[in-house]
Amino acid sequence: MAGLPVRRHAVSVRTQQEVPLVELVDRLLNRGVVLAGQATISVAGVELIYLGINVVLAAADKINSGETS
Amino acid sequence: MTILLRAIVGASDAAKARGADPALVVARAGAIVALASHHDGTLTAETPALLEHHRIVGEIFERAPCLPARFGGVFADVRTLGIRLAEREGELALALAKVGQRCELAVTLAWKGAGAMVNGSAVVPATGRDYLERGRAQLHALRSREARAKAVVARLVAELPLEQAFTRHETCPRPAVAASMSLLVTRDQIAAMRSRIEEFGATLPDITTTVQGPWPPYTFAVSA
Repeated sequence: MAGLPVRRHAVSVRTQQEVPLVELVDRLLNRGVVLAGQATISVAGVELIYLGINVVLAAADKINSGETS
Repeated sequence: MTILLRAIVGASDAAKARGADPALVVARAGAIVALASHHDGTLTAETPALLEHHRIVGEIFERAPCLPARFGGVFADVRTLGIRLAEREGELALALAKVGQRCELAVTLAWKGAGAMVNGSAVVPATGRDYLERGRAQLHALRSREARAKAVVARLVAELPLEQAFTRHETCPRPAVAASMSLLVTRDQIAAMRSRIEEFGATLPDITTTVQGPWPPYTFAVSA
């Protein structure tokens, strides 16, 4: 997959094509350091605006299924 | 133009970490610094933007130990970011020291033949009794899966030469997935860890095991 960093050395009993990107996306959206700040983020066409609060995002699938408020 | 937080590194590593991307800007707060990119317009959590964030964080991580930022930390300017960073300097410096040079491996335990086990039939139940019995069977299957996933994770964790603090997991996060695990490992542990996980996975009749990474320690960035 062009553009992916070479550090992604996937080793598995499944093929790379079967490995869901969701594991990485989940980490990018749900984990990592969060500092109080502001952001305007659009997920799957739905714009979410956070002003002056901790930017806490949920994975797109959770947002789309309405599991987060 | 706003800035998008990428990662936090030690102040002594700022110069080499900034080499990851010449466009990175730096906000300082005592022993730590935050690296951010200029950003303009609406921030969209789509795959290209997410992978670009992952790429830049990865480049930083290749140069210095870092706390990766969750995608979406946008600040008005470097000064504002510096103020926010200073508010949590002690906590973040401690987290950075705990993570050290370790990286994250993602382990996905997926059900073989996923979807077939729990999903109900597309056929509409003929009677209320059929409906209730189907629901009961599905609930029983879900509980069985949850118990099986927990047991497998417990076995795997017990077999890995890692401190409990360096593992995280979530069972049954998605229908096809028995467990999603994160392991915080040193680089010299990666090969052995993969081998052990693959060997473990080969013994499971109902679950496939996938290891991804090494990645920057997203899961362990704050509470390692």
